[in-house]
Amino acid sequence: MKRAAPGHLFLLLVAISVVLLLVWNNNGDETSEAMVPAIDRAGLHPAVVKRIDERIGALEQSFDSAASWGTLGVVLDLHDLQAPAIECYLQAIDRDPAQFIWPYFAGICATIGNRDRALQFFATAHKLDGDYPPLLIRQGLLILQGGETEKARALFEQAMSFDDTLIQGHLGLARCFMIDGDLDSAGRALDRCDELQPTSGEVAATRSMWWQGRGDADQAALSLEMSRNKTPREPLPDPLRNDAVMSEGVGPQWWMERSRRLVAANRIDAALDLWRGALAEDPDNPEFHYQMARVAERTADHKLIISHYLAATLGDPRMAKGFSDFGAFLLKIGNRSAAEKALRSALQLAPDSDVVQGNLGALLMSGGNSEEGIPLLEAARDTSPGNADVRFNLAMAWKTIGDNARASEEFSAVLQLDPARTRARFEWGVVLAELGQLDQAAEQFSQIVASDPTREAPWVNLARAYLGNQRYKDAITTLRSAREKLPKNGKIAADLAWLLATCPEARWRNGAEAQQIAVLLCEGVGSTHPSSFDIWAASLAEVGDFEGAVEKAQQALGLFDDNPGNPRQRSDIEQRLQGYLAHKPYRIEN
Amino acid sequence: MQKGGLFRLLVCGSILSFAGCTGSVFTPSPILMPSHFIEVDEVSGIPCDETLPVVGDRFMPESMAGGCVLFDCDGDGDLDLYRLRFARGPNGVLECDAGANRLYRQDGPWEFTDITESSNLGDRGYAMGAASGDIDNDGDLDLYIGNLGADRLYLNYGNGHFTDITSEAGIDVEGWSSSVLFVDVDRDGYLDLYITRYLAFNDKISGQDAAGRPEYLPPSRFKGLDDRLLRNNGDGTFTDISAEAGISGHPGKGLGVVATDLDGDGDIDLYVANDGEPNHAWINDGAGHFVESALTMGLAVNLFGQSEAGMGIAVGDLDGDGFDEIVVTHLVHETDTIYRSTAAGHYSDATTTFGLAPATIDFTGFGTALVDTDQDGDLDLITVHGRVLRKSIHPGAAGGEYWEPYAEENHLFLNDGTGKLHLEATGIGHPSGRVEVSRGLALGDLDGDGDPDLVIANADGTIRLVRNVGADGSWLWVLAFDPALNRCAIGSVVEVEAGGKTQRRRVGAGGSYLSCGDERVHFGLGSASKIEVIRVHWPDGTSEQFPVSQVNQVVVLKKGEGA
Repeated sequence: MKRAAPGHLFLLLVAISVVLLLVWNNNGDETSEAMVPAIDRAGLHPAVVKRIDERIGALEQSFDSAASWGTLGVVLDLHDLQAPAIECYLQAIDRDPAQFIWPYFAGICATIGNRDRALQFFATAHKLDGDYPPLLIRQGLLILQGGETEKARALFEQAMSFDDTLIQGHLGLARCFMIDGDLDSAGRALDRCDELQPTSGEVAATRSMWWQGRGDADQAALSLEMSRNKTPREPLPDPLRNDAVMSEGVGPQWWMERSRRLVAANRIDAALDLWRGALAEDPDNPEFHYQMARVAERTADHKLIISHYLAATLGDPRMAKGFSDFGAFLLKIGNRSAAEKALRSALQLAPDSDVVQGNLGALLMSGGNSEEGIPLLEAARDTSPGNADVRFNLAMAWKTIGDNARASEEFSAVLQLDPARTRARFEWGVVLAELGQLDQAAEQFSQIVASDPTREAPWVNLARAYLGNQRYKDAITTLRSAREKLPKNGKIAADLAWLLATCPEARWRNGAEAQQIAVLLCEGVGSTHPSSFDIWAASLAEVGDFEGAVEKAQQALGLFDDNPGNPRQRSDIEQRLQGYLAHKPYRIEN
Repeated sequence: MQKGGLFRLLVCGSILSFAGCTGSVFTPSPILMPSHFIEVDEVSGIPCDETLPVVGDRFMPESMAGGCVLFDCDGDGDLDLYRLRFARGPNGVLECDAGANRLYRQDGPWEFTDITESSNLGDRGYAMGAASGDIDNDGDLDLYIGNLGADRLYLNYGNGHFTDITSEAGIDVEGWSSSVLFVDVDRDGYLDLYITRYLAFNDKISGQDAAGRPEYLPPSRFKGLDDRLLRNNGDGTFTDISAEAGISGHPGKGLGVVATDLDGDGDIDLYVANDGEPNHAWINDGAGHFVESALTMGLAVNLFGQSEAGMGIAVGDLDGDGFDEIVVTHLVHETDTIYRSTAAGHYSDATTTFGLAPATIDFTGFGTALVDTDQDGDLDLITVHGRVLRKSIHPGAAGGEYWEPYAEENHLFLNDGTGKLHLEATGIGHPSGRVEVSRGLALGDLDGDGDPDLVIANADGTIRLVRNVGADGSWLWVLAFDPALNRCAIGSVVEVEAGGKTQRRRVGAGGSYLSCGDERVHFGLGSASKIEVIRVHWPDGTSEQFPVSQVNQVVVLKKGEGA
C-alpha cells in the first residue's frame, strides 16, 4: 500500500504531478496512454472551467502520471461531474495500482448513485490500506445500508480501534445494534456519541428511535424535536478528502465550504484571503461580500465587516440573510438603531424567519418595546417551537413584563429542549419563586449547584427558597455547603451568619458561629457595608450581648451617613436597635 | 507537446482495465427485453412522446410534476386517461395553453381519442396531482386537480363532459398542492377531499450545483405547508375543515397520501409522505377529527430517526400476515422504506427484512404501487424513478440533453411469497432500453385481459402506457358498490379466499405519487380455479359475503345483496 501521513498525501500527489510535468518538459518525449474524458463545460462556473483546464493541461503533458489523472478526477468529482471523474480515477488506478487514494476517492465519488461500485472501490482501497478510519466508516455505512450489520459492525469497531473519538463510528455501531434489536448496546454507543458531541442532531434523531424502541414515546418525540435544532449531519473527519477539497474545490459552493472549514480550523486569515480572491474575480458579487463579512466577524475589524455587509445588502437589496446577519452584528456591537433598521429590512424580506423575528423581538424587548417585541418572539416560537434560543428569549420577555406564569411555561419548554441550559434553569427558578412555587424553585437551583457549584447566585437562591418554606435546616445546610465551595464569598458568609443568628427555630441558631463569621466579614475582610454590622449586631444579641449588639447596630446606622443605601434597610436596623435596647434578639419572619 | 500519442494507447484498451473493479461505469448494459411490463409504442390517439417546454432555468416544480389519472370518465366500463400537464407561459405565468391537461377516451385496447375539448377538462393550470371521485353521488366520477396555483374541481355530467365548479363549490386552495385523495372521513356518505401540500415555493430563489450550473433547489430551502381537508357538505359545496379537524398547524412537505385504517379501530386514517420532514399519520376519531401520531406509531421517520424525502406511498399486506405494510419511496442515498405493522397501530422500519434496501438506495423513487403483477397471490412492488439532481447519464437515458442526466430505470420487485422482495432486472421498461425521468404511476387493466397495466407519467411531459405481459395466474377485479350512495364504496375492504390464501384490498386507498388509478381492486389468485369466499367489509362496519366463485372476471359487489 502507499499512503503517506493523512493530511499531506493529496498535496504530495499534486506536487508529484507538477514535478512530472517539469520533467516531461525537459524530456519532451513522454507518451500518453488515454484520452481525456469528454467534459461538458456548458454552464460551469468560470473558476471551475479554469481549474479543469489547468489540470488537463498538466495531464496532457504527463499521461503516465497517476497523480495527474487522479487530480483531474478530484476536480471533476468535486464539481458534480462524476462520470468523467470516475474515468480519471480508473486511469490513475491503472497507472498506480498500489496507491490507496484513487480507489478511495473513486469509492466516495460512486457512493451516491452507485453503491455496488462504491463498495468495490472501497474494497480495493481496503486491501491497500485497511487502517484508514474514514475508509472503514464509509465502508461500514454502505454495508449497513444493505442490512449486513455484522460486517458493518466489524468495520466500525476497527475504525474506532484507531480513533475512539469518531462519532460516526459509535453512531454506526448504535445503528447496527438497533437493527439487531440490542437496545442496551445501542444505548451505550449513543451515550458515547453524546459525550463526544452533545449538539449532534443525527445522534438525537437516532436516540429518538432508541426511545421508541424502549416504548417511551414522549422521550422519542422530544429527542426528535431536539434533533431538528442541532447539527443535522456529523461530518466525518477525513484528512485526505479535506486536503483534496481545500486544494481543488473552486466555485461558489466550494469556496463556501472551504471557508467554513478554514473558519472551523480558526484559519481566519486564510478564509479572508479566499474571499478576497473570489471578489477579485467578481468584485460586485453580493454573496461573496456577504461571505466575506461573515468571516470578517471573526476579527475585530468592524470597518471591514460593515463595509462588506453594506456591499452585500446594497448589491442585493433582497438578501434577507444579509440584512439579518448585519442586524445581528450591529446589535452585538451596540448600534441598536442601525441594528433595528437592518432587522426590520430583513423582516420585510423574510417575514417567516424565526431568526429575524427572534433577533428583532429581542432587540425591541431590550429597548422596552414589548408591544412589538413579544408578538415577534411569539411568532418566532410558533415558527420554530424546537428552537431553545427563541423560547428562552420569549420566556425572558414574559419575565421582563412580569407575566411569570407564561414565563414559567416557556422556561419549562426551554429546559425540555435543552436540559443543560443553566441560565434558563436559573431564571425559571427565580420565576417559580416569584410565583410562590418554592419547592419547584429549590429543585431548579439545587440542580444548578449540583452541576456547577462555583456560582454564588444559585446557592443563595436555593437557601432563600428553603427559607421561604421554613425549611431552616435545609437553608443552613445549603449555605454551609456553599461556603465550603466558595469560602471567600462574602454574600454566602453573610447569609449564613444572618440565618444562624436570627433563625426563628432555636435548634438551628448558632450565635457564636454567626458572630465569628460577622467578625471575619467586618474585621477580617474589612467590609464597611451596614448589613455586615447589622449581622454582627444580630449575632451578639443572639448570644445575649445586647450592649455589643446596640453598639454594632449604631455602627451600622452610622455607615449610612457615608452611603445613604437602602432607606428600608436603615429603618429595619433602627427597629432592630430598639429591640436590642429592650434586650430582645431579632428573629426573621416569613 | 506530442498529441499523436493520445491515440496510440487508446487502441490498447487499457482504459477499461482495473483490477478489483469490474469494467467501466460507462459500459452500456446489454439491452434485454422487459419480461413483465413492456412500454407500448402502438398507442393510438395519445401523443405519448409529446414533451413540455422547459425554459432551462431548473424551475423546481417541473422536476416534481408528472401525474395522471385512470378513470372511467364516461361510464362505458373502460378506463380513460387524464394526463396532467405543466408548463409556464410568457413571463412565467402558471396558467397557459401549453400546460393544458388532456383527457383521452379509451375506445379499445391501446386506442384512445383526445376528447379534451368536448370534455372541457383542458385545465390550463400548472398541474401537479389529481384524483377522481363521485362528489355528488350521481354515479359518475368527478375530478379534482391540485395545481401549483389555484386548484380546480370539475363536475362530471355523466357523459364525459365536465364543468369547473371550483368557485361554486367554495373551494379556494392556492399554492402548491400535490397528491389528492377522495375519502369519506366523517362517514356521512359524501366524499371529502384531502389535499397534500408541498412547500411555500419562491421562484425568485435559484439553485446551483457544485460546478455552478443551474440546478433544482432542494426542498430544505423552503418552508412546508399545511395539508388541507375539505368537507363535502353534500350539496355540491365544500368547507375547509383543516383547522377544526386538527390538520392545520402541522406543516410538512406533503407529496403522497394514502387512506387506510392505521390503528385498526375500523375508521379511515390518513398517512402522508413528507419530503425531508417527518411523515404524518392522521388518526381519525371516527368523526373526522384527527390527531397526528406518526412518531408514536413508528411511521414518522426511519429506523435511525431520520426524516427521509418521502415521495410516493403504497399500502398492502406484503407478507400475508393480515396487517398492511406501508412503502414510501425516497431520494437517492436513502432506501425506499417499508414500515411493517407489528400490531394494530404499531409499525417499525423493516426495509432490510423485506430486502428492499440495497436495490433502492441508488435511485430516487416517486410513483409506487403494491399490486400482484404476476397474479401469483402475493403483492409485488413497482417503483418508478427519476433523479432530482443531475448525475452520470444512465445507459439508455432519454429526454434530450436537459433530462438525460436525471433519467433512471423503473423497477419491479417480485414477492417470493414470504414478503421478501426481489428486483427483477428486466421487470419493466421499453424494448429499446429507453430510460426516462418518471414521476407518476397509475394502475388499471388497460387492455381488458385481467392483469394490471400501468401508466407512467414523466417529468418531461411524456407519458408511457405499459402492458403487463408477465401475469400467469387467475385474477379477479372487484368493484365494491354501495347502491344507497350510488357510488363505489370507498373505504371498504374486500377479502378474497382462494387457493388456500386470504387476501384483502382496501378500496380507494389512494397512494402512488400525484396519480390515481382504477377504483376497482385487483386480486391475483395464482393457480386457484375458484374463489372460496368473497367478503366485503363496508365502511359502516357491516360485512357481507357474496356468492362468487368464478375466477378471471370483473365483479360488482353491491352492498345489501350479499349475505
